[in-house]
Amino acid sequence: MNPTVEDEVTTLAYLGWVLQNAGFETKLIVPGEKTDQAYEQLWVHYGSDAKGRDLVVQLLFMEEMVQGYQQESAQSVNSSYGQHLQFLMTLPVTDLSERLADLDQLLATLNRLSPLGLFGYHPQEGVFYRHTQVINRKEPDPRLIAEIIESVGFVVERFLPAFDSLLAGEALPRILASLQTKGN
Amino acid sequence: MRTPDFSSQTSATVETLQAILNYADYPSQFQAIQPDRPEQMLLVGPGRYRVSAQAIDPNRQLVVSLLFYNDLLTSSGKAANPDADTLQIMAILPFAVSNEAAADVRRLITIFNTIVPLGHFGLDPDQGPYYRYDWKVLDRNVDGLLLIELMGTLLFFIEHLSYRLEAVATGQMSVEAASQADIHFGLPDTQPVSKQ
Repeated sequence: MNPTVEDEVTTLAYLGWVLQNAGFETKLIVPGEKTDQAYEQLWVHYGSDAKGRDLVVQLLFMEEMVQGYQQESAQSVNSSYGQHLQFLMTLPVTDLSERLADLDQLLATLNRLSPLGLFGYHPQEGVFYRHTQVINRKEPDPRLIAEIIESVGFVVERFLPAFDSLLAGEALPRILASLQTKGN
Repeated sequence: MRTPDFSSQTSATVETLQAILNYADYPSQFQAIQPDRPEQMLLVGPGRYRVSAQAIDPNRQLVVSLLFYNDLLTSSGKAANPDADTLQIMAILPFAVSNEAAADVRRLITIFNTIVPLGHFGLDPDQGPYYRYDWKVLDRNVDGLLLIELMGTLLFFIEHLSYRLEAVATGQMSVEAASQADIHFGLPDTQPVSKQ
């Protein structure tokens, strides 16, 4: 039986509680807790990579993000049957703007290999990995959420070294050649 | 016509997906994932292909494929994921990208992928440009109403952005112009889940 969410508990708060009981390290970020953040987020600590860098999956409902910004312009968000839960990981790599063409090709290759989500690059926020899951918000399945968190963390941990190599100045063909082996 | 089961309480098959999408008037047919293998995918369409904000190309069509990723794995002789499956929804865009234009197209794809809230565009060296969304499902439990809504959403993004990629691929538009053209959309209005 899938438990339902009580009206007074947000879906993310409920998921955070369930995930924590399942052994995940979670933190609920309430709206306004962080600067320039008008929406609620759930942060899940996936683990650390081989270099000891923390890998954190950020969960947020996109409708809330859009609502947060649209409130300023007095617009309303159309309701829909489904809700869009975004899983986002910002990769711990610094500026790759000097190698944009190579980065674009690396992203294209990784997105072809990744079975879920995509790697992307934002000029201000850097490299990220993102998956948006369409769900029925009234019946969130914590097993599904946990499975996605594990998948997202696994993919990022697996391919993060490729971005480290790019940042270190390694030639793109060599990086791509190593990916073909990893992708199998 | 028998109303399909829209619930997500039973494991879906490609036949289930067809019944759900047929209910929403999406034409479709089955195709084997690999020759001489039983695993099948569902091809939805053909649908219209937009070449600008105002114009449709009557000579080109859009086809969206749906397959369960575990079926893709088993059809290739690989082991399936026992914990979960993914419903892969993908459209190969009906235009080619030359080697000379590939870097510009990849640049625009990177830009688009920061703003598209669902799925992503990509450029495959063999298949060309594509749009893909991977929907994680447990026990292949597919919510039929979500699937219908999802198809409408994905087609919306494909229609509004694909022709901009093609414009860059053919040299009609620069990356800067294509990325700065007015692209403002929130989540689109839902289509009514009733027969047209």
